[in-house]
Amino acid sequence: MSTREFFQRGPSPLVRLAFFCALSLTLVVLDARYHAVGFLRATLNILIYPAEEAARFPVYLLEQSAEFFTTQSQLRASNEKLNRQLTVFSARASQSESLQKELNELRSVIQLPARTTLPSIVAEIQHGGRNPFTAKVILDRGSQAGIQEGQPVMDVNGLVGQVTHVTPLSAEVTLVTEQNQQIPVRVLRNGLRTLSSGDGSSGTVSLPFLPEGADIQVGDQIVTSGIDGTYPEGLPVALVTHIDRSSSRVFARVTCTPIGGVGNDHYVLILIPPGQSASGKSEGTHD
Amino acid sequence: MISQHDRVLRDPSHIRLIWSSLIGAYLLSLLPWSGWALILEPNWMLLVLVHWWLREPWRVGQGAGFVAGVMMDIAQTGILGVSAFSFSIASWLTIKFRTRMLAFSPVSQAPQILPILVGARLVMLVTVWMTQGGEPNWLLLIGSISDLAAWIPITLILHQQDLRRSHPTP
Repeated sequence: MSTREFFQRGPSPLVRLAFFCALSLTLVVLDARYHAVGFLRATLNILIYPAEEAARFPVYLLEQSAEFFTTQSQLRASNEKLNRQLTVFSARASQSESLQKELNELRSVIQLPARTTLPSIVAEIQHGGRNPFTAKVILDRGSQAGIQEGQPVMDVNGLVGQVTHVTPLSAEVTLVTEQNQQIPVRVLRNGLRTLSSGDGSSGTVSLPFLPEGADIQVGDQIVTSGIDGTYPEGLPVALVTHIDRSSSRVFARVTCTPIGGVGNDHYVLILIPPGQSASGKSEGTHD
Repeated sequence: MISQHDRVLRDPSHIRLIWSSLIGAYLLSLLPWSGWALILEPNWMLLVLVHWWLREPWRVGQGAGFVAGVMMDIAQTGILGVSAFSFSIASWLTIKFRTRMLAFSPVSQAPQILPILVGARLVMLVTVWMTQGGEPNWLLLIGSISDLAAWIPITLILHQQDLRRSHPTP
């Protein structure tokens, strides 16, 4: 019998505690303040990729079998709905094309550069990020498909968030509802510019910098203003649902519900800003 | 008696059990939990770690807790180091009180484990709150109840597996 199990060697538990606490807090500070652990994260992400796929497999099987047992009436109803939507959308598309042409002609008259359409990549949401502290989703396509950090992500309804981390086969999207995720926006009704900020766990977005007397109403639509160059102009972000004007504060408390199906939709669109190439793999264009 | 204990410790099937339980816990936490399930999800990795910290601190020690914490942070796409910090503190507490806790049966250990499980979640909440600001999501502490509910079967199964391996039935 060796003495190894009976007589402990090495530093005492308290010293080890201090060492590992210092190490983890260093990691926390490096990651949260300086975003300096990207390489470590990317390497470990690739390492756990097979395990992630293995864990997803039973869920995938369950989904597949659930889809297999979809009744014919459900399929027909969904098909009918999609056909109806297609008619509406194609009518709108042809309308918007002529409007776009007209807009660009008018813009050229006043010597403004023409508005271009953005190429985009379609990706599927793999899972909801599994982290109760953050509002993130993971997509099934990554840098191999041309996705880069910083690109805006939307679904059929509106802005969903922004790509914040990319691995070759997956991408992490931080949702608009993430705590302190700020987006330059304007009110669609009157063009009032401000910043929106995610509220974290409550799943809402607020407009923290509007003065108490600002012209804003419940039901106003908030769209991206495009002044930061990250988000293209005019993407729907949220609807104002609650305004709390109190004379004791300088700023009004404006709460909005995001329009993009944050956490609901399966498919999203990653927009590629001008100047970034999608390595020839983009699947369409979007205004 | 001691040599029997030593034989069990060096048994490769015992080491396999440690590894497979840790990997199993990791795979469980990699399932796509979301919404309420995410809040109620037991902290599988911490539960399995607590079991081994109690019984095998020389094999699964504070360093293993730190590494498992980093891997959990990667799995959860959270701030790197939050789980590692929480697991480091939990490992120290568990190892400090292990001799006393081992005097009880797994079921009666549960009330003594609870403060460690709640503490681990509290440390994560406070660390995230200190770095990100905003309102801490206190709902997450509810998950300690499912931690406690999952603790009893996990520790019983692992303990039983261990006994079966050390005294194989003919």
